[in-house]
Amino acid sequence: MPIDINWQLLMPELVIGLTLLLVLVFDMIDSLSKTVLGWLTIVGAGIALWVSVTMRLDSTYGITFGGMFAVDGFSVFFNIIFLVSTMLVSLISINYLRGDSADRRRERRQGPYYLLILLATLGMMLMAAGNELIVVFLGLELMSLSLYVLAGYFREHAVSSEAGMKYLLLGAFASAFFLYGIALLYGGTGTTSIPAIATVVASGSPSPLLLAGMFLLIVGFGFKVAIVPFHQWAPDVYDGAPTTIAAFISAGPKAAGFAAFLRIFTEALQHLQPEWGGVVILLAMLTMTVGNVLAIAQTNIKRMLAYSSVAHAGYVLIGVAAANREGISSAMLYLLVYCIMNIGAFAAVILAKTSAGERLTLSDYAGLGFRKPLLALFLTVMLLSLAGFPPTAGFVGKFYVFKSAVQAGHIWLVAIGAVNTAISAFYYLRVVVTMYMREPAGEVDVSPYPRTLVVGLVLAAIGVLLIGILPSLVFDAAQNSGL
Amino acid sequence: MLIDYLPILMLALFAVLFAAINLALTHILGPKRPTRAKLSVYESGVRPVGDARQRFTIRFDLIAMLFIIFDIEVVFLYPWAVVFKKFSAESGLFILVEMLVFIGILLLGYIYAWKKGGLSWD
Repeated sequence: MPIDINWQLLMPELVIGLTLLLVLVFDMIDSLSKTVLGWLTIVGAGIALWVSVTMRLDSTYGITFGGMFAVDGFSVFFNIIFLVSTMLVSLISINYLRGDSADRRRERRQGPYYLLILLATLGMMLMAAGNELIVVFLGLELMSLSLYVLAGYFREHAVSSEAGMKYLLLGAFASAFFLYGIALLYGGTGTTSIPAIATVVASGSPSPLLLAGMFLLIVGFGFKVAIVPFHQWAPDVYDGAPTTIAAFISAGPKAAGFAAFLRIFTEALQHLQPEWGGVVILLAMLTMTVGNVLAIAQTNIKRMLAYSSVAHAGYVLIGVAAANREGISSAMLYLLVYCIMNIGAFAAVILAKTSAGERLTLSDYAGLGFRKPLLALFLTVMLLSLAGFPPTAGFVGKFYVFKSAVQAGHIWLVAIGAVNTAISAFYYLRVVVTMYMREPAGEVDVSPYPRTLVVGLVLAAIGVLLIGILPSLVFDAAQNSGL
Repeated sequence: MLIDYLPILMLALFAVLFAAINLALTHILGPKRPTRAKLSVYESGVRPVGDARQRFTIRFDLIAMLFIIFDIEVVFLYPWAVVFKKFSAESGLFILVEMLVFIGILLLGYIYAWKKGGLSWD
């Protein structure tokens, strides 16, 4: 039998895999500073990003591994999202992990941290390019297992361990749903290949098995991307996990979940759109509303960002519900924008910390605008972007998502989305108001800015403003990359 | 459409009823003359000593995990060996190298676990 593997298409994955092995080897050298591992991760992800961008520009697309692995504009665009997130998160992690604690044990445990981030990234890339339900599942598990460990990374803190445990239990439960869905789809169609399922589904009326499998897949994905009513884990995990990991979980894995969701539902189950379309619209409405309303009640900024990320999944679902070319590309654009601005917001939260520890409650931010004007400015940019104000990227993302839904005729969905944007402005702006219009409470702490964190935050801010002012830069790319 | 699944439902119902009725019948009809030997955990087995719910060290967990990982990887060699002949004419060298790379990565992981103290008991 001949072997059919086109290595050129696998370049980004191979680069990440090689970086992984290098980090593994370097982590064994005790005399080496663990910071090197962080830089190695960034460089590896950077090279993979560069390779992905060249693949995008040269349209190096194709299907390989006997049809299991599809490299197309869609998967390459998502690779770019994942790699940008990984680079930003690694950048903000370098200072965060070293911190000001003299904890030698934590210093030594930095190796596995970067290893797990790279493994999760590899899993995400598999999910986006998987043209086979089993490959998608493999990628999902690779990603999830790494994230469970990362969520409980500060094992000396009870909350972090609890976050890891909660995430593991609920995540494993969700994976079981997902796998059961795959099994039923296989039972209904006799294949696990996504294009083959599409042909079977197109040829006849849907069997109940197929429909049951489809709904189980929605539940599985719903857990992974934190869609209401499957979002319960998100606030606890974000709150307990290290803040950098909260940023990571909220960015790449959410995009990866949507990547696989889009590929399966708009390609394999395209002809069942009348069946799942209504469910997705309902979930989008629920997710936006519940996420935003609950975010208002939060006084802990990490929990607030967690609920806000739930709400943002709802906005992406609007694009999915539109289910046309426009909808898919606008959802992709939204995910890119969302990843950058959310990581930026978390980076700003980390930067706001003082020698006494992280500042997580809303009242801690009182007067920050006067004490750390630059930081407050950047956090304001991120929050405005999350709220969707022009000229930030958040506005662009929302605009295209809403536009695609209007074109698809879902006027009510857009109306609810717009109302939700107004609700969300309240709690994002509340932080801004607290920073600039409240008297600072407690001691004035002017600790120096950790350098890589600042670089990460500035890069995120540049990205947010650049996409906000020149949206065509990435929108054209997303538009040409739809499925 | 759904009618196709009726036999499965009937089978499931029958299985549940069969088990329930048998259990109930033995419970009602069977005579009960318990002795000490009959009531022990394993009749005519080794006599139990103490409770099974003991605490034991977390290190077993680590060892068990490492064992599972490497054990599964070895299992993966079997299907590879079985299909090797089918491929050997055209791309034998390729899949040999592929497996060597796989084992090489595993070896790296093994050295990592060793170096990080995963294999030492203390």
